Amino acid sequence: MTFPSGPTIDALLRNAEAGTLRLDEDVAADCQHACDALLDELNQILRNTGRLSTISAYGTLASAQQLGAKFEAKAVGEGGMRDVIRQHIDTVTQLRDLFEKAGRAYREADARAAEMLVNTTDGP
Amino acid sequence: MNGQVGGTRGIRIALAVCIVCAVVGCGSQTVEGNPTAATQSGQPSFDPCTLPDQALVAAGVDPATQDAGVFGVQMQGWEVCGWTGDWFFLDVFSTTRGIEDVRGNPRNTDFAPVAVGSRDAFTYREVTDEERGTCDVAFGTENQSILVRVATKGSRETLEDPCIVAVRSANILDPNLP
Repeated sequence: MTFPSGPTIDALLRNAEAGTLRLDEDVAADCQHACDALLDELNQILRNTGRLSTISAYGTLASAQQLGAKFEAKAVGEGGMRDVIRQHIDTVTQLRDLFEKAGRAYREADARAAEMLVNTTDGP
Repeated sequence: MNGQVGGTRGIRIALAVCIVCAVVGCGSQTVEGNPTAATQSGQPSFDPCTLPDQALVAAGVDPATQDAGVFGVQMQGWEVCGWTGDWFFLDVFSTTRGIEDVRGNPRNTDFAPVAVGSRDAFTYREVTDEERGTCDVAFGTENQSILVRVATKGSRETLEDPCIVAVRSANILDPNLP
């Protein structure tokens, strides 16, 4: 998955790490859960693709074996479905990381603000 | 109407018996032994979905995550059932294919002998799995082959060599495998 324009996930991650990109904690948690659910789906597709390519490689007829080989190229060959799903998994994993960091940045900023407020009221 | 259906069925059975007798040349004696559902339908006799929950928990997977077939579809000559662990999937295959077909399959590589209970088994990976994210343990039984597969989740850190987990899992499941 590539983004044709706008900041890359890497750049956003750096902002979140630096604390300049913040996301309300609840929103960040929701986004993380959405990423987890998507990752589960993608992992499940990858796993079943593996099952199918394994079984199709044992076809009894020569034609089935040829079909198995063709399928294998599409499914688990270079640039095939498995590669694409893996790229999706990498991207969503990065996104999940981003939401986690942005949520943490929000929490930290919130804690700092609260601390400053306490110091102000506790002051002379 | 029932009688008619029964009659047709009777003729079918009689025909089937005649064909069987013609093929195997049997006499009037009854054939001993118990038929297995597996060989009748061309499916392996062992269904991995029958593995008990406690063995699955011991192997580090959640029995509630059971997932059978290929995208839910049963494949001819194969039974597949799997469960999900924290960072890996455990899939168990049974197949009517002989173990020599597994070893002789050009898609498979990196064969290494291992023991599963008292059985001689081997680990291998598929050639296309360059990342070595999946490892299978295979052994043959009387009339089928069993594959125990550990596949890592792409989104999680791999905490152990998949082959080590696969061999350990196969040994845990061993008493419940054919």
